[in-house]
Amino acid sequence: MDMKTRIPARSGKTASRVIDGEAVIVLLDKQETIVLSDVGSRIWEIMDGKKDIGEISGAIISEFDATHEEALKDITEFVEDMVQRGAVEVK
Amino acid sequence: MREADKGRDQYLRIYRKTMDNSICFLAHWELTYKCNLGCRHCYAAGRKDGKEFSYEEARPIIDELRDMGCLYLIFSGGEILMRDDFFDIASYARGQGFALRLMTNATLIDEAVSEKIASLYPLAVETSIYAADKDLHDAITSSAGSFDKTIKAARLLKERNVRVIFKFLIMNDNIGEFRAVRSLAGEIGADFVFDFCVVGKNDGSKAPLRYRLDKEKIKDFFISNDLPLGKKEADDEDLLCIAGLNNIFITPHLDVYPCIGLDVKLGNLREGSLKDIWRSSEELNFVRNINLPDLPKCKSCGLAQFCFRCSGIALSEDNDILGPSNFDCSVAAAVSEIAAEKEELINNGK
Repeated sequence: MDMKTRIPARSGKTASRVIDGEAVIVLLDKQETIVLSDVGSRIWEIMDGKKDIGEISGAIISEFDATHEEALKDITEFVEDMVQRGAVEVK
Repeated sequence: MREADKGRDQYLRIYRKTMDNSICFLAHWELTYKCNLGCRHCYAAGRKDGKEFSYEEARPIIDELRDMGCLYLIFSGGEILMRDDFFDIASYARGQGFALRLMTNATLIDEAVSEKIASLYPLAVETSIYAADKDLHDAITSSAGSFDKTIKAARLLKERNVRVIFKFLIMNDNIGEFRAVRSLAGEIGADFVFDFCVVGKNDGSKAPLRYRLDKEKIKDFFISNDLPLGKKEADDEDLLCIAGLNNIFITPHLDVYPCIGLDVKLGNLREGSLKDIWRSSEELNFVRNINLPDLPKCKSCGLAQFCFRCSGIALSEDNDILGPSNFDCSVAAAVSEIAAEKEELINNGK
C-alpha cells in the first residue's frame, strides 16, 4: 500500500502536550513518557487523524526546508516507530 | 545510555523547564465537597456553603488549562463519584489530551463504573486504606462496609489493568496496621504509599491533629519497620515546596490556590480567567519566589537535608508562611536522629 495515503492518528491511550515546541507524550497504559524532537513534535501536532502522510509531508517540507523524498521517508519512519511504541494507530 | 534513561532525562528536563518558566503543567481540581463517607480526620470540612461548578463551567476551564500547557489533571473530592457528571468532565478532559489521576474512596465503584474508569486510561486510581482490619478501617471512615467495598473496587480495577495506589495515612491508632496494609496492597497488585501528615480542617479546626504521630512515634515507626530515611541530595537542600511553580489547585467553588494545603486564595474563576491569575497574581508570585534565604529561622537550620517543609502547614499551624512548620521540624529531627544513630553504629563497626 502507498504510505502517502495512510492516515496516522494519535492513540486513545496517550495524553500529550507541546511545551515550547517539544511534544511530551504519556503512554497511559505503559506509564511511560516520550519527548519528541522538533520535527517529531510538529508531525505530532499536525497528525489529527484526518490528514494522510502525504498531506503531513507537505506541511513538513514547507516548515523544515526538506525535500519531498526526505520528508516522506522521515515521516514514514516516525509513524512506524510510534506505532511500535503504541502511541500511533494507522488507518 | 539506554533509551529508557534518555527518555527519563528528557522528561526531567521538560519538567524542570515548566518550573523555571512557570508553565502550569499540573492542576489539582477538587470536583466536589460531597462525600458518602465521614472520615473522622478529613480536612474537607468547611467551604460547603457555595455553589459547586457545573459541567458547562468546567469545559472552558479545561480548555484554558490545555492552552496553558497543562498535561496532568488530578481529580479529587469529597468523593468524585458523587458527581453525576463526573464521567462527562473526565471524558472531556481526556478528549483535550490530559492525563488523569483519580482520588476516590472507591466505595461507589462497581463493575460498570470500573469499566468506565478503565476506558479513561487514568495514570492511577488512588484510594485510602486506613487498616487491613476492616472494623478499624470502617471506624475511621465512620461507614460500615466501606472496607469491603473499597477492596472489591480495587480488585475490579486491577482486573481491568488500571494502576491502583493504596494510600496509608498513619495515625495514632492505626500505626500497627502498616505491614498488614502493605501486604494487602501486594496481594491485590496495588502500589503502596504512606504518609503521616494529618492536617487540620479547611474551616480552621485543628481537631484532626489529635490523630497525628508525635516525634517519638515517628522515630519508632521508622526504626521498627526499617524504612529508608528521606534525605535530600546536596544539590536539593535549598529546594523548598513547589506550590505554584508549575501547578495549581482549584476548588469545587472555583476558588484558586497555589496548592491544596496552602490557604492563600488567588482568585475565583467565576470572576476572572485562570491565565490572568497564573500570570498576574501578586500572592502567587510571592509564593513562587519564597527561597531558603527568605526563611529567617530555617535558612541556618542544621536539619535542612532531612526537612521537607510545607509552607501550608507553617501558615495554618504556626501562623507564618516564612517560618518553620513545627510538625515538619519534628519529622526532620526524628529522621536526623535515626541517621545519626545508624552512622554511629557503622563507625563503631557494628
